Formats: sequence, structure tokens, C-alpha cells
Amino acid sequence: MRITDNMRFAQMTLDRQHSAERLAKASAQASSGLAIQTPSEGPAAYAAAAQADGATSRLNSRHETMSRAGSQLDLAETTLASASDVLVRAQELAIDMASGDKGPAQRAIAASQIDVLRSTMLSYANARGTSGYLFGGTSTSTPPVNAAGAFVGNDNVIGVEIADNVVVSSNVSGATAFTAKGGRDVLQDLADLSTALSTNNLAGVQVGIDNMTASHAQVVNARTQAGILGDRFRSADSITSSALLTIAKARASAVEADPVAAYSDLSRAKTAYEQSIAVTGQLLSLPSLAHG
Amino acid sequence: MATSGQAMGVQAAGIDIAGQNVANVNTPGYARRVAQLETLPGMGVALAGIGRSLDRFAAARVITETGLQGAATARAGALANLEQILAPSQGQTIGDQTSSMFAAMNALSQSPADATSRNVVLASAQQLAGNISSTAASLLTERAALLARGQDTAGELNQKLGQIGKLNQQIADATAVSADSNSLRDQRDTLVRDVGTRIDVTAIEDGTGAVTLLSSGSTLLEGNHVSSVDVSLGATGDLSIKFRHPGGAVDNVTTKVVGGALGGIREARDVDAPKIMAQLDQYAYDLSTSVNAVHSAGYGLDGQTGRPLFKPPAAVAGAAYAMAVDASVAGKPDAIGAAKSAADLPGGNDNALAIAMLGEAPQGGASTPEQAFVAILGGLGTTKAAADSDVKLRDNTVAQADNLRESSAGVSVDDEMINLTRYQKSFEASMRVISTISGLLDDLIKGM
Repeated sequence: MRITDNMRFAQMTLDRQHSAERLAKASAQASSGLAIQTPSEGPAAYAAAAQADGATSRLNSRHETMSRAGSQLDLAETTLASASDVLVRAQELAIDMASGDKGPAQRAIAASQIDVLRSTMLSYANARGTSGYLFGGTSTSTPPVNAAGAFVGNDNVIGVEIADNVVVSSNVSGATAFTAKGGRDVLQDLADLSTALSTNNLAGVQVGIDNMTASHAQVVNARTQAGILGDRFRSADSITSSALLTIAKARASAVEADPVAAYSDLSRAKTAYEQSIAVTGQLLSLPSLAHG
Repeated sequence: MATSGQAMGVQAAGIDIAGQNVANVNTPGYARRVAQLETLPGMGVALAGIGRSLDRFAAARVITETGLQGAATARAGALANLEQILAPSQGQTIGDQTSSMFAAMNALSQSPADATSRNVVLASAQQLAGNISSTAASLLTERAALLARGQDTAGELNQKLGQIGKLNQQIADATAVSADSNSLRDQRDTLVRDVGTRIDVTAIEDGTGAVTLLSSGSTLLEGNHVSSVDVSLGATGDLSIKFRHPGGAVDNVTTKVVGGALGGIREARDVDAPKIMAQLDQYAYDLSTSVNAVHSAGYGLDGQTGRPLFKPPAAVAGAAYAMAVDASVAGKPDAIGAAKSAADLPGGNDNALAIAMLGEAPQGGASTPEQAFVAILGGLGTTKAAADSDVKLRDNTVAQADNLRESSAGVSVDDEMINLTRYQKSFEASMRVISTISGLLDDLIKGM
């Protein structure tokens, strides 16, 4: 084939452009840390990264809601633990006042103590978390137990998604913990005990002791439920965190440049570019008959 | 002596031709000139003509390959714009914002009465709808820009076709009187190549030296009869490409134009962009419809129900452009239907949770929103990658074709230096012959 000067120059220009393109690409990869930046650079890898981003967003959202729900349940558990302590104290007072050596005056003082404990129990039943009242079901903006001791909340569940299409309750039923729905109306039992003590009704105090035992068991049961739910959230959250790590790794392997490989590519591209320039220089300096 | 004198003239012409070649070594479209020498009857040499060293097959191949290169380059450029619209290098994609909206809805499910969480949901829904709508608008703008580009290309084509028509006439005139038409042919070949980068064209030269240009199953130019290329918007909204012939006849060649920039523009504007637009419309339609179906069943903090989150799309076509947060919800965070019943208010979160879970559920077809958008990006990425590969392939084939043409038509300075020396030596030899004969004659005269 006959080779002309312009063919040589065109080839040199083309080769230098290819080297420059390769160098620019290697530089971009090394500086950005990304091997794939647009869908066309690697459709499958870009799609994998986009799906990983979607999954990460979903799991992060889940992680946040589970954390919040877990905190609410921890608060509910702590509150119920305190409530059970109140009932233990009430039961101890009742047992003490059931003794024959206690007189009406002492029982009247105990009755006032029970009233304070009932008031404390009322405040626990109406405890608030970050999203409203803990034990009101979905009635989160009004106290679930009114001043008269009547439960005005509901027994609805506030669900949290812990895995794809798996929703679990994030609230403890106040109705089950504090009202007759759980077996005993705790506040009414405390009120009845107070009445029995203030009226020096020993039989009533005896019944109150049994009621305190049952109420205590009921609150402890609710507390256990809160603990189980909290553990479930923590367990699911742990799985979610692991999944996030796995997805992050998969995303990185799909689109991120291996730093060592990127540096190596950059070095090779730089060398190739320098060689291309050197070869171009040599070709341009070839002797010509025109200079003879 | 007469023979040598004539030979000196021919060699001098050879030197002129070499000089002409060297002078035009970098002139685009220039085909090197070759002195066509012939032996005269009896004795002596004559310059029969000055030829163009041009391989017509190679030249035709250059035109074909540049047409394909023009189409590939124009399409890849347009696809790069579409890719940038759908997957911007900076900022969030529609897919990211869809995930954000579902995440915000999930967060709301934990605090259904919280005003901040409601505002975040509303803001994310507005951002998503706004981005889908503006993306659709950008796609329409890109199509409009491609129409304008197609019309500009047609204008350039018409200008060049007019120039070729004039050159055809000048070449035919020169050929008729046996004048040198090589420079005119160089100019015309360059223009034909320019036409070839804009539309697929085949050039056929007739006995008079004029070329006929055929394109897309029709005649674009014959002699000095020049058709005009007309690019306009057809009734369907697609490009309409017509050849208007000098006699008034009109050929609609729209679907036959596949090469040149015009072919690439048509492919990108009327095949690639509408495909993306249709997918985006379907995405917006499915997303709006599925979210609205659940949201409408929910109750806002104001106890009202039956409100869609997004403006209900009238049809799939145009759903993306029209996407917006519904007027009954826009600017009213309390209207977000997080609870499934009025009795659940204000803490009921079942509906918010159900909407958040739509992010994982197949909607419309068999894909989740995330998968549906990834499929759009993946399809576009694959198309763009193939177009980029095509550009590289065409660049290489054009380079090969150029080399093939250059191999016969290109000027080699070294070759011309050799030619110069060759003609110079011949010139000197002829002078020597004259000098020798002159000496012999002198001797003869002195001896007389």
C-alpha cells in the first residue's frame, strides 16, 4: 500500500487521541473512585448499583423506624417495670395493713399512700414517648386514661415493617396492661384497695392483696411483651445492618474502581500516552527528501 | 533538437505538476495530479494530459462510510443528552427520589401525627412529581432541539447541493471543450463527501463528468437539476423528510433516511426518545395509580378520606409530564392519609405503612418501582453503549476508507521530490542532447 504523509499524520493523530482518551478515562476513575459513572459505561453494573441504592434507602428507612420503635418499646418496658414496682409496693402495704396489729388510723394513712401510688400508676398509664402516648393504641394525642381512671384509648396496633412485607406491632396494648381486658382493671384495684383501707375493711384488704398480685402479673406480662417486641426489633435491626453492609459491598464491587487497579491503569495509560507522544515526535522528525 | 526541445517542455510541465502536488499536500479533497506522457509518432514525447490519481471505488467507499459515521455520531450525541437527562451526573435520579418518597412515608408511619414527618412526605412527593414532570419536559425539549438540528442539516444540505449543481455544470462545460476540470472535480468531491456526512448518498458520474446523487431511494441531484431537502414536523409529531424535485414532484423519504447526520437525528428523535418517553409515562402512570389507590383509602388528620396523593393521570400517554401532587393534598400535610380509618386517628399508621410497602410491590407490570426505573436506565444505557461502539466502529472504517483513498489520491512529499528530481534529470538530459547536437553542428561548420 502506498503510504502518504497525510496517512502517517492522520494515524499519529488518531493514536494520540486514543491514548489521550484512555488517559482521561483512567484519570477520571482514579480521581473519582468510580469505574462506572453513567449507565452506558456499564449498563448491568449501573443497574446493579441503582438497585443497591434503592435497597439501601429502603433498609436505612427501616433501620430508622425500627430504632425509633425499639426506643419506644424500651420506654414502655421501663414504664411497665416502674408500674410493676408500684403494684409490688401496694401489695406490700396491703399485706402489712392486713395484719391484725394495725389499726384504722394506720390503715387510713396506708390508704393515702395507696392513693399516691394510684396517682403514680395513672401517670405511668399516661406516659408519653416521642410519638405520643405510649399506651393509647393509635389514640396517641390524648391521655389514654382520664382523671376518673377510665381507659379512653384504643387497642389498635401501630405496625412497623421489619422485613419485606413483614409487619410487627411496635406498641404495647395499654388496654391489656392496665384495664379489665387484660384480666384486672389495675387502677380500679388500687382505688378499691384504698377504699378498703380507708374504711378499715379487712376483707376488702385481703381481696386487694389478691388483686394486687393479679394486677402485678398482668403488668409484668405486658412488660414481657414489650421486651420480646424490643428484642425482635433489635434482632431485625441487626439483620438489616448486616444486609446494608452486604449491599454496600455489592454496590462497591459493581461500580467502584479498585484503587490499586485504578492506579495501575492510570500508570499504564500515562506510560502509553508518553510513548505515543514520543513515537509521534520520532515520526515527525523522520528525514524527508524535501529537506535534503 | 526539436525533439529534445519538446521533451524539455514536457519535463518542465512534470516539474510544475510536482510543484502543484506539493502545494496541495494538505488541501482537503485534493487528488494528486499525474502527468500523462505519451510517445509522439516518429520521435519525441508529449504531455497528453494531467490526470487525477483517484480510485473511484475507494472514494465511493469514503462517502458511504462517512454517511454511516455521521448517523452514528449524531445518534450517540443525542443519546448522551437523553442519558444526562435521565441519569444526571450530579443530583438524584427519579429512582432515588422514588425511594426517598417511600422512605419518608415509612418514617411517617412511625409518627403519623408529627407535622414535620408529614411535611417531609409532602416535600418528597412534590420533588418526585416535579422531577418526573421536568424530565418529561426535558425529553420534549430535546426532541424539539433535534427537529431544529434536522432542519439546520437540511439547510446545509441544500446549500451544498446547490454548489454541486453549479460545479456539475462547470465541469460539463470544461469537459466539452477539453479544458482542465480537475480542480472543479476536487471541489465537487469534497462537497459530495460533505453531503454524505449529512445524508446517505450514492454518487454516479456520467460521460460529461457530472455526478448524479441518489439518496434514500430517490434522486437528490442530476446534472444541475437540484432537489431540495425539506425537514418538518409530520402529522404524528415525528420528523417528515421530503425531497422536493425541480419539476414540483415531492418524495417523502422519511423512513428511508438511515445514514448521515439526518438519519442519526431521525433515529434518536423518533425512535429512541419516544421509547424513553413512553417508558417514563408508564412509570409515572403506574406509580401515581398504585399510590393513589392506597392513599385515597386513607384518612388525613382532618378526618377526611378519598384524596389521591398525585393528580390522577388521565391516560398513560402524557402521564409523566402531567405528574403533580394532587390539589387536594398540595400544601396540606394534614391531608396525607396515613390512617386506615377515622377511628385510628391520629396515631393510625396502617395506610402510611401500606404506601411505604408499595416500594417493594410490583405495580402495573411485574416490576417494583425501583426495578421499573432501573430497567429504563438499563435499556437506555445499553442503547447508548451500542451507539458508542458503533461510533468507534465507524471512526475506524472511515479511517480505513480514507487510507484507501489517500493511498491512491494522496500526495507523498517524498514521491514528489523523486518526481522533481526525475523530471529535472530528464530536463538536464534533454538540454545535454541539445548541447551535444549544437557542438556537433559547430564542429561541422568549423570543418567546412
